[in-house]
Amino acid sequence: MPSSDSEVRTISDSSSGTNPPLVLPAPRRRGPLVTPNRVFNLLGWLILALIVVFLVIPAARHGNWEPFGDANTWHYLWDTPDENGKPQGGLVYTLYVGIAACLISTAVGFVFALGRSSNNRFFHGFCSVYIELMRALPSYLIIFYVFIGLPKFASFYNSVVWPGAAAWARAHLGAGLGGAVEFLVEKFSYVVNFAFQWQPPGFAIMGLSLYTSAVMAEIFRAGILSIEKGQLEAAYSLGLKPHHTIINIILPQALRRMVPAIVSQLITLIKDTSLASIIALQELTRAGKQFYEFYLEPGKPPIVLETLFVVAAIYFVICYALSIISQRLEMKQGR
Amino acid sequence: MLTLPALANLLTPLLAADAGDYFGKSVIENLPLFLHGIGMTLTISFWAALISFVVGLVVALLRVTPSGGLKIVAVAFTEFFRNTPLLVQVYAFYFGLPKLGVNLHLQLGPFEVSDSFAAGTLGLGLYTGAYVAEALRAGLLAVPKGQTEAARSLGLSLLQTLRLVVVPQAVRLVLPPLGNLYSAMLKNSAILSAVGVADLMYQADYVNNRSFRTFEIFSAVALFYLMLTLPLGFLVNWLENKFNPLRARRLRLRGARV
Repeated sequence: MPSSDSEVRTISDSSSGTNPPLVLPAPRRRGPLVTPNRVFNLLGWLILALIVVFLVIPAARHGNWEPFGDANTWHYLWDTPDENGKPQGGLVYTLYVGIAACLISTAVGFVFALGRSSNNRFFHGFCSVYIELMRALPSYLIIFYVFIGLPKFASFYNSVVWPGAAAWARAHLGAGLGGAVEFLVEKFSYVVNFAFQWQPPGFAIMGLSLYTSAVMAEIFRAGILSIEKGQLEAAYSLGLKPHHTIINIILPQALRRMVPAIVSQLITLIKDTSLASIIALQELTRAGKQFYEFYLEPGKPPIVLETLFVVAAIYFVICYALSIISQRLEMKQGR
Repeated sequence: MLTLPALANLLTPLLAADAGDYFGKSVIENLPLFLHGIGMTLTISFWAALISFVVGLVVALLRVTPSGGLKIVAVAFTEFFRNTPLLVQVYAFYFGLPKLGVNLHLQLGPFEVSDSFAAGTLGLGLYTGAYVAEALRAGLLAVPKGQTEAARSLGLSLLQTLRLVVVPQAVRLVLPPLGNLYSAMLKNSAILSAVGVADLMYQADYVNNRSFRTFEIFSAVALFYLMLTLPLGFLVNWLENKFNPLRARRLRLRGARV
C-alpha cells in the first residue's frame, strides 16, 4: 500500500526543542474522492436538469423582471438620488461604509495586535480584553449599541466628563500636568463629537470597525506569531532595531500568510454592512426593501423576491470577486 | 482629590435618574422577558444547527462524489449562500416566500411554528449550512486517498466507503472548525430579530422602547451574549488542542498555558 502521501506532513526539530514544528499543508488531491461511477454520474446530471427545468426556468419566466429593464431602478439601487441628484444611499453607501470600516479596522487592528503581543502587562491586558470582548459579541448588537449609546456618551462627555476632569486637573495637578490633562480631555472631545456628527453612515462605520478591528487584530497576531523564531533571532543578532525587525523582516513574511484570512474577513465586512439597514442607514439592502415596498400596488404583481434576488446578486458579485482574488493570490504564493 | 461621592455625582446622569432608582432597574424588572429571549436564541440556534449540519453534510458529499451535475448544484449552493448577506436571505424567506403562496405559519401537531421562526431558522440554517459544507469538504478531502482505494479494493461500496472509512476519520479534523462556525451562528442569530423572532435582541429592543434606559439594557444584553458565546469559545479552543497536539505544543513553547 502506498504511504499516506497526502497527510499533513510535519518536520519537527526534536533535537533542539526550541523550534516550533513546521506544519506543511496537505498537497492538493487530484481527482474525486471515490472512483467514478457511470450510473451515478448520469443521475447527477438528471437532477441538475430537473432543477433547471422546474425551478430556474419557471422563476425566470414567471417573475416580474420588467422594472429591472428601467434605468431609474438601477439609479435607485446605485445611490438613491434625491431631487437635486445628491446620493442618499444605495450601493454607494454600502461601498463607502465597507471601505471606510475596512481601512479604520485594519489600522486599529494592527495597533491592538502589537499591544497584545507586547510585554507590558497593562497594554497586553487591555488589548486582550478588547479583542475577546468584541469577538464574542454579535456585530449586530455592537452596531446597535453605538447607534443608541454614542449620542448619549457624547452629551455626557461634553456636559460632565470634559468640564469635570478639566476643573479637577486644574485644581489638583498644578499648571504643568493639569494643563496637559486638560488639553487631552479637550482634544478627545473632538473625536467623540466628530464620530457623533458623522451621520448617517458614521454609526455603522464605527460599529463595524469596533467588531472587525478585533478580528483583524487576531489575524495580524496569528500572522506575526507564525513567523519562525529563527527569523527574529537572526534579525536581532544582525543588530536590527525592533522597528526595523517588524517592518523589514516580520511584516513582509506575515502579510503574505495573512492575505486569505484578511480577504475572507473583508467579505464578512461587506456582508455585515447590510446590518446598517436596521439603524436606518439607507444602504443597498434597505434601498432594495424600500424599492419593492414603493412598487407594491393593488393590481401590480409584487416584486419582493425579484428585488431581493437582484440585491443578493450585487452582493454576490462583490464578495465572489474578492474570494477569487484571494484564491489567485494564494496560488501565486504557493508557487 | 477625587473622592468616591464626587465620582458617584459625576456618574449619576449616566447611571440613574433619581434617588429611588438604581442602575439595572429595568433589567431586573423585565428579567423574565430577557430569560425568554435567551431561551428563544438557544432554541433557534439548536434548530438552525440541526438544519445546517444536515444540509452541509449532503452538500459536502455531493461535492466530493464524482458526478459533474451534482457538483454544479453543490458549488452553486455554497457560493451563493456564503457570498450574500444573511439579512437579505432571511428577508427573502420571510417577505418573499408568502408572495409565492408558501405558508410559513405551520401547525405541527401540538406545536405551532410562527412564520418569523420558520423563515429565520431556514435562513440561518441554510447560511450556516453553506459554511458547514465547506468545512466538511475540507475534512473529507484531507483523508488520504490510499484509504478510499483500500476500502474500494476490499469490496466496500461507494456509500460504505464514505460511511465506514472516510467520515470517521474526517470528523476529528472537522470538529474544531465546526465549533467556530456554530459559535458564529449563535452570534448571527441576533440578526433574526429584524424579522420579528422574539430572541434576546428583540426583547432588548422591546424593553428599550418602553423604558428608554438603553445603556443598562444593552449592557445586560451584551453580558447575556457573552455568557452564551464565551463558553463555546473555550470549548472550541479545548477541542482544537485535543485534536491537534502539535498546535498545543507550539502554543506551550511560546509560553501559553494550554
